[in-house]
Amino acid sequence: MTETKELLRAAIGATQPAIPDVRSVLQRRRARRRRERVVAAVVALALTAGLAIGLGTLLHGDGGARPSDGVRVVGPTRVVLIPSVSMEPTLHVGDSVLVDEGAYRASAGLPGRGDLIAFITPARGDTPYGALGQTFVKRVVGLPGDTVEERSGAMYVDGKPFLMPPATEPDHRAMGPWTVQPGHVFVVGDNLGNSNDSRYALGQLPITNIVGKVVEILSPNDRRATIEPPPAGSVAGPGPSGPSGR
Amino acid sequence: MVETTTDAPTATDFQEFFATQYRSVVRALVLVAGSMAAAEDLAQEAFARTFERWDRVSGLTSPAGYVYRVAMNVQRSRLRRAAVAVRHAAGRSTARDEPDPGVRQEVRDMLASLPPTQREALMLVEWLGYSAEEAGAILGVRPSSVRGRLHRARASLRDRFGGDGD
Repeated sequence: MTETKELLRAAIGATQPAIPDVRSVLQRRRARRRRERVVAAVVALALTAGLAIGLGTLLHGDGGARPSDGVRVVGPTRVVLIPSVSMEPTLHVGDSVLVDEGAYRASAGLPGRGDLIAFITPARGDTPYGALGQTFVKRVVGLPGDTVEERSGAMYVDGKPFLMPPATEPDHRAMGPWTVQPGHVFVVGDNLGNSNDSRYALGQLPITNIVGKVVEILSPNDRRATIEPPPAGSVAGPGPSGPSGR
Repeated sequence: MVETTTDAPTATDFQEFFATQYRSVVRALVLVAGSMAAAEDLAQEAFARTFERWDRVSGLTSPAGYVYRVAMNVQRSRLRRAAVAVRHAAGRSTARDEPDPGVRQEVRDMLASLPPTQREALMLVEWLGYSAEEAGAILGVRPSSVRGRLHRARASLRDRFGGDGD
């Protein structure tokens, strides 16, 4: 008996383990395997579901975002993140807005004047929007057949002032007039002095590029607000406050 | 599976193997698992897995060697899975055993501080009496590696507990 073996004996001790029933040992293994299979299945399922929801959010936008009570949507919906200052003061950089993709189904895709819409930028080889196909949010000013112009920092439709929130960066140029083409709408950013829109390289927007109507600011939480529809009877846009009450 | 008639002879065979080997396997596995409770758990898992391959394993020269190999594989994958927990538990006994006057806890703690590969070599060669070649076959490494691990393990034990070793 070597010194080392003596030490090992001291580590093991004198206990003689009880011999269990062989069937219970095999049973235990089967139960453990079942448990592992269940765990693996649950994990796989959770991963798949997570992936599906994630992909669904990316592709279809409905990541479980629900409109607030009282906000009526036709659906489906998607959430769009505001990347620029072009919609100040109505929308801030970093706002998430809820877009109702079904809003214009009944009107054959034609939005209302004054609506905030989300759309995919048309691919135009000669513009920075090019093939990027980004999702933008702008305000609809002109419908097909309208004459749109800009005079001293305000938009005019068929010669009448178009009501919209005062731009944080006003624009005092005179531009246009433009005649809105069939199948197109004329969109501008509320921040007239700092927005690339139908007045500039973006051009008139084919209504087929429209994703849907922006109905609500979802986040950040302290900015949660519905987007007010244009005032009844108004020829043009909504009142000066875009989101209600805030 | 045990109860079906077709593999009943195999099952009887395995039962006998289990009954004769269980105790010595558990006691040996204390050296790699660190406690009697963990060794019993490991041994039972290893025996059950061995049973699943019993028609092949029963023909081997050393079915017990196969059990040890499985046990050490299970132990390693558990160690990997619980790497963080094990790191936290380093230097401590991980499971509580019944008090055993024959156990010198400081030796267990010392073994726990050795790399698992050295503990495996100690168990197979020093405790169970396998040759370096046999142990190498069980572990899937060269005999010279087994000897090296064994040498370092013995040296560490000597440093800690004195004696002239062998």
